[in-house]
Amino acid sequence: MTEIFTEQQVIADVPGLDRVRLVEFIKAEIVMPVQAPGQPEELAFRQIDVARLRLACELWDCFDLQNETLAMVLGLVDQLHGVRAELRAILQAIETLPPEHRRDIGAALQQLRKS
Amino acid sequence: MDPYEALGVSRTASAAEIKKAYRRIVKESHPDLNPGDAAGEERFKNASAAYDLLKDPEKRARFDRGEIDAQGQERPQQSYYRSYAEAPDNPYRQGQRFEDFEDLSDFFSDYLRGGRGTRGTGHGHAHGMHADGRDSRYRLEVPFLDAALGGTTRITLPDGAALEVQIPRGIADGQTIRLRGKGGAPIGKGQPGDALVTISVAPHKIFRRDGDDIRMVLPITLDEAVLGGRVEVPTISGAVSLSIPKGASSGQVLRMRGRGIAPRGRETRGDQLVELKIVAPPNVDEALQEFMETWRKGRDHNPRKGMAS
Repeated sequence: MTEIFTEQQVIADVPGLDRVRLVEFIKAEIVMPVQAPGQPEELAFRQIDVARLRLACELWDCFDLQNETLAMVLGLVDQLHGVRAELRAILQAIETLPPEHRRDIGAALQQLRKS
Repeated sequence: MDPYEALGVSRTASAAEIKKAYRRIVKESHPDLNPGDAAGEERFKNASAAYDLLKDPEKRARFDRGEIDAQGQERPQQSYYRSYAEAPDNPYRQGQRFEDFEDLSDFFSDYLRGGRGTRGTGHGHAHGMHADGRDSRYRLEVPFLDAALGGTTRITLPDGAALEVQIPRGIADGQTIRLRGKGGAPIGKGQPGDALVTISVAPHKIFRRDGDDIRMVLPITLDEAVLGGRVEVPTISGAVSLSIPKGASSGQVLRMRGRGIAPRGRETRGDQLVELKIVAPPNVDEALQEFMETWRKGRDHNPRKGMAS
């Protein structure tokens, strides 16, 4: 979480990324660098950004996506992971309930799936 | 694994066929696009290693001639976006909304609205010829102490203008500040968009945050540990004197009440938790050595008693 990457490090780290593409990705809000007060011209990236840029470059190279399409695909990926995180949280909350409540929830889910 | 097999193509496949096969596997099996599919992840790993080899005509020819093997092409351990994507502080999914779930029940709609930092109603809805400006998103790193105690800082907008940002005290990593009306310009009579600034809190060299508490490790000397006494301890709001109990040990945690963080809207502060760490003097001089040798004679205190050997 705390590791910081500079622009040069990110370009060296992510296969297929060069400066032009990085600037385009930032413009399309595919990736948002972190601003540090005092040195706004220095772009800083975190591990999540590096992983996201890697995915963006893979998708770009593999499917020849335009920036706008890529931003949309990544937005959907974010929504998918967001929903998974919420689902995980709800399941974990259910996990802490007494067995009879869990059974009731299970039965209600079965019922909803049938209808 | 044979790279042709990993991609499911014949050894005579054209470059276009290889790309097409790889594309299909990415679509079906990329772990960031298909989370939770373990077999798919394995398939994707093999296919991307294979594609790295076969997309390069020179490497492919060398592999076909037997000069290099497929193993040499294995990718280093990749950190997938997926490993970060579900984190609640992921700045890229701060805008997620569940407004269509609100008829479910008060309980769930409160839960789904909570903690996401999604306040107010969405912008960007068109009203006839008018449309609200879009929200613009920024990420800003703030120093640890500014996040703990509050402060002001500035961000630079893409057009070069600077925008003042008030940091509310106690803001946590990943939280978003909404600056009303500082986003994109509206069309017609719409409302201007907001600027959404997601905060990253910079790490501090001494302090670590744990909810509303501050944690730190305090080095103490051998004699302070044995004899106890008062020492100066840094806190987020200046140095404070702390009493070390007689006979303190490394790892012992002392609680300094009310020296932690009070998030905005709350008056009581959390605590500072100080973990003691005994540090031996850099040189064990003769006096100390002699004293210790004398001291340990006839004593059988063993802190490792009861540990399985």
